[in-house]
Amino acid sequence: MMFPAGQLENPRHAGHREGVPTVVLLEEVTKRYDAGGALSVTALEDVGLEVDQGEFVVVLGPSGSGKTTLLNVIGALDAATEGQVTVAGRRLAGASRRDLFRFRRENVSFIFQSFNLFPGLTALENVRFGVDVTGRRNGGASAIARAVLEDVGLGDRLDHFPHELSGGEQQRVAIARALATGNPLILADEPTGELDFRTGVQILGLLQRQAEAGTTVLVVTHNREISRIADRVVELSSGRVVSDGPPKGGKADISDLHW
Amino acid sequence: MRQIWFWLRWSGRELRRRWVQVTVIALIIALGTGVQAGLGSTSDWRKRSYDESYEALRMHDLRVRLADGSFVPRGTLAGALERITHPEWVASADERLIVPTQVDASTASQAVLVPGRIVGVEPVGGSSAVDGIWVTRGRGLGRADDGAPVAVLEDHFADYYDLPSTGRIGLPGGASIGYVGTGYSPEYYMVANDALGYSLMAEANFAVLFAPLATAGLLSGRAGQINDLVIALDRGVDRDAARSEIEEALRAALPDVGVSVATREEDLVYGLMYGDLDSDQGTLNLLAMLMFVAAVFAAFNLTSRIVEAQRREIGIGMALGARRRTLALRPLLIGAEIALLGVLFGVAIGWLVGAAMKVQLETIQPLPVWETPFRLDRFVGAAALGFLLPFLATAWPVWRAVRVEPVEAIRTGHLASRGGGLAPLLKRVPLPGGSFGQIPVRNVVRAPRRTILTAIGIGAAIMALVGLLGMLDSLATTIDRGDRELLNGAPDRVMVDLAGFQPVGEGVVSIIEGSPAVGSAEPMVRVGGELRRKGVRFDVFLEVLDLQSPVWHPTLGSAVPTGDLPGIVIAQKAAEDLGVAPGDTIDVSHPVREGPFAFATTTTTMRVVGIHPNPVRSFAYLDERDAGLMGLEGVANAVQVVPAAGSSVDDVKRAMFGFPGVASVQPVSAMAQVLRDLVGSMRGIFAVIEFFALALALLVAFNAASINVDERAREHATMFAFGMRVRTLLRMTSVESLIVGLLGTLIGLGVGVAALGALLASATKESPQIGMLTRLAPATVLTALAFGALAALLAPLLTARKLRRMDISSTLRVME
Repeated sequence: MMFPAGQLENPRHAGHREGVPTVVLLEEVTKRYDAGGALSVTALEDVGLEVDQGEFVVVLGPSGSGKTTLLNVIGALDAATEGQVTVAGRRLAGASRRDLFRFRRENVSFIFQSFNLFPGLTALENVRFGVDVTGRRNGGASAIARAVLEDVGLGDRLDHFPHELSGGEQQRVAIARALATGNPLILADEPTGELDFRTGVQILGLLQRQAEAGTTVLVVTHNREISRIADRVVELSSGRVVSDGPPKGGKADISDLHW
Repeated sequence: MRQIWFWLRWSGRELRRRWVQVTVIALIIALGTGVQAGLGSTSDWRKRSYDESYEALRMHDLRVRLADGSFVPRGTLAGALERITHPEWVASADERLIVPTQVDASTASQAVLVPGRIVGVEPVGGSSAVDGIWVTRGRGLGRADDGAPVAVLEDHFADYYDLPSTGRIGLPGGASIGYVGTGYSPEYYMVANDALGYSLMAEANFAVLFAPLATAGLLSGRAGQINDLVIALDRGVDRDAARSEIEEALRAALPDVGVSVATREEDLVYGLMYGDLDSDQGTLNLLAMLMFVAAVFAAFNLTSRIVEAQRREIGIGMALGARRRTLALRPLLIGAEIALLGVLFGVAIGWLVGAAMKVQLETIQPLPVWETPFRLDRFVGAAALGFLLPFLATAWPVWRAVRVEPVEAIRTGHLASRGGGLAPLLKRVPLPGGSFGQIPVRNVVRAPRRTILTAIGIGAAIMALVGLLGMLDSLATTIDRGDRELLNGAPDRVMVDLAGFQPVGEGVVSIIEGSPAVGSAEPMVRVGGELRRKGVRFDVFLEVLDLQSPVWHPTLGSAVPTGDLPGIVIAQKAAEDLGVAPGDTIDVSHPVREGPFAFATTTTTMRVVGIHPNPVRSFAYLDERDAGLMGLEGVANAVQVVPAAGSSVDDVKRAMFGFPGVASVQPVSAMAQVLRDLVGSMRGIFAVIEFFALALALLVAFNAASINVDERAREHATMFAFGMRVRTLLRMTSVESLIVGLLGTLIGLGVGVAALGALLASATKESPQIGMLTRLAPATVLTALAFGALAALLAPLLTARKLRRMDISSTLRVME
């Protein structure tokens, strides 16, 4: 059962800004996977997290720390075993599969490490997919898609298929697709994982600008350098939050990044 | 050994993981091999069933017949057997009285008046009788029936006219007899026209009554007399030697009576049954081959796609340094295991086909015994190919996979992305539905080779269907064409066959012409003949009539003058087979009368003066002015009649019934009806093949859709991650499947037309007397389209469960 949206009270992180709605709230969330028989794997344990609207949050951790699982739980691709997950004012526990599909349509957009563009569609059509899936089937869908692609600097690559684009261009199309949905929350799983440094910085810049424009952005990565430009860094280890706060040494400028 | 076991277990895991797809491919192979084995065994089944059926009713080994009109006291012929040198050779013998009659089996709704025969038999029943009677409905004859006015009515006749299992039959002179059941003896496993030596339409035109011997004698005025004897010899007896001894004994016993002794092989129906054994087999073999090709091709395509999905694993193996031949082992094993499974399933399908065909054969040709055992020898050949070809299907992609550089094979994500196939060609084509509308079409064109192979797989099944239905269309059109010609201008035309040649203008011909039920009548001559030219020869019915008759005459087309030769009008098929056109000459072999009852055969060169449109080449026509060629001027052995105003065909039949000199009265339309009934009876067999063709199309479409779901799992998971509804995705996959299905159907239609040509050529070879017209009815095209569309639309829906249960997060996980 999902409850209607609304401003949540009881902020739990130090950087929470007064009057800014909380978009993501995890309360004592645990995720366990049954591996068969008596074996079970705990991917997340007693995780608490609160993300405000417009925040650029980096979830940091080594491989197997549970960061992707965290993203999946927030994005309603996986259900928490215990605890409460509330996103955009909607509690996800017990929601039907159908409701979860609708929830994602209306609230969440994903960016994947390997882009996951649709190979049979051009860049414009891939982005238009983001508009079409929300149900905005009117003459404006293509115009929206075109505008978003121009925003990400691909105004001259509208008719190119994914295999005709570089890795960075493909990821920009993926970002544009996510942006075209107009959803308030973007979840990015290792968005720079398959890109070179320079391209990766460009991608991060795009995401940062979205956050500045009011979209909440959650980036999952194992690259500590990326966390330097975040508003907040949530560090996971073995499924637990080991730290949650501004980047060590303060927030850096994107031009200072090196990896 | 351990290694082999390791590979078997690993390949087994892959099979289990994809068990649905593997099972479907195996079923596809099974359909091809099983149908091939089943349909290919038809003539074997017929031979076996004929042998068993003749054995079941103890068909005679020898038959003694007295000359027409001769009778001897009961016991005479059986007594003569006791005086042969080896009486122990005779296992059993039964005397019979066989007399011609006319039968009135009219019902409230139809007049049934046909010539017939009373066969008087010893009413012992049981298995000891020679030429026993197989009772299909009601009861047979028992000892208590001897002398009673009861009979068993021949089953084909009763079935044709839909008569009840018991009833009353009218006989000439106001007599009648009740029949207590229907059935047949071995001589009537098929009803044949003794005079013309063929079986077509005979069951509609001839009724047999099996009556107790004493009853037959009473009815025919031949009480206590017989004229026939059937003999069963002991096993292993030399039939010719027995025949000689019996002939000698009969000559001694009956020196003044004409007697003939014939073997069972000389029986007309026996000869037709076994001579007809391989009829239709060529056509069925061709149909089976179409299904087999379709199935193997589909399995080839689908199996290779499963193996292609393992390219990355093969690449990883190569990157780790494993030998190529070692890496090839698992996918090859998978291919072999799928093929083997298909062969095993094929045994079950072959058995099913046999069971289904048995039901159809029992309907088309009722016999006491029908056996359709699974023929392993037939199956082995099909199975070998059914195993080999899908196995080769894995060899090709495996060969390709081990030739790719390891680094290319193991690339993931966008680095592994391939070209867009033909998708770029369509990027400027606007389609409704935004990106959702584009996706199905782009999916179809971005892997063109795969799309075409899947379409061909579906098309192959549709091809078999089109060939089959096209055959039925062509048969129906051919029958209609013949019907139109025979009934042209005289739909109620009735043919009255006379008993022998009668003088025109007097006697029975005059009686017929003067009958109040007859509007107009035209006497004619109908004899058998043969057309010949340059080594080609075939039998025809020669009809000598007024080629401008107001009653009816053949359509002459572009007639040419005869010149100095007699003219003949032949069928289009006859002209094609002889290689002649109007104006050319052919040789015609025909009877010529040498005395009141004596005929010789002679050959006359005639000019083809016209081509008539009846597709049956057996019909040829001469003008009545040329009757003198046969010495038959002024006589007729048939009269074509049109009912008088206010009279029906049945009225004519009733008016002619019992006329001395009238052998039979049949509407001309009955011929076409028999052919239609024959085609109708074959629909059952065709329905069996239609079912398997549709099943094949559905299986191919389903498996293609299922493999698509696997191959595009990541794309689908991405769509679901964005919240796309499952039903939206199902709609898209249905549209994609429909496009491929329709493409396949169009391919199937095109190739099906070629297959139809091959099938008709085969049918023409088996029945050369019929010039088959090729036709594919609009309804057939629509049926094929509907089948293809239905299979294509249903298939993705069967993957709905898989989509709904998708673990989205696992599917999206990046492979490192």
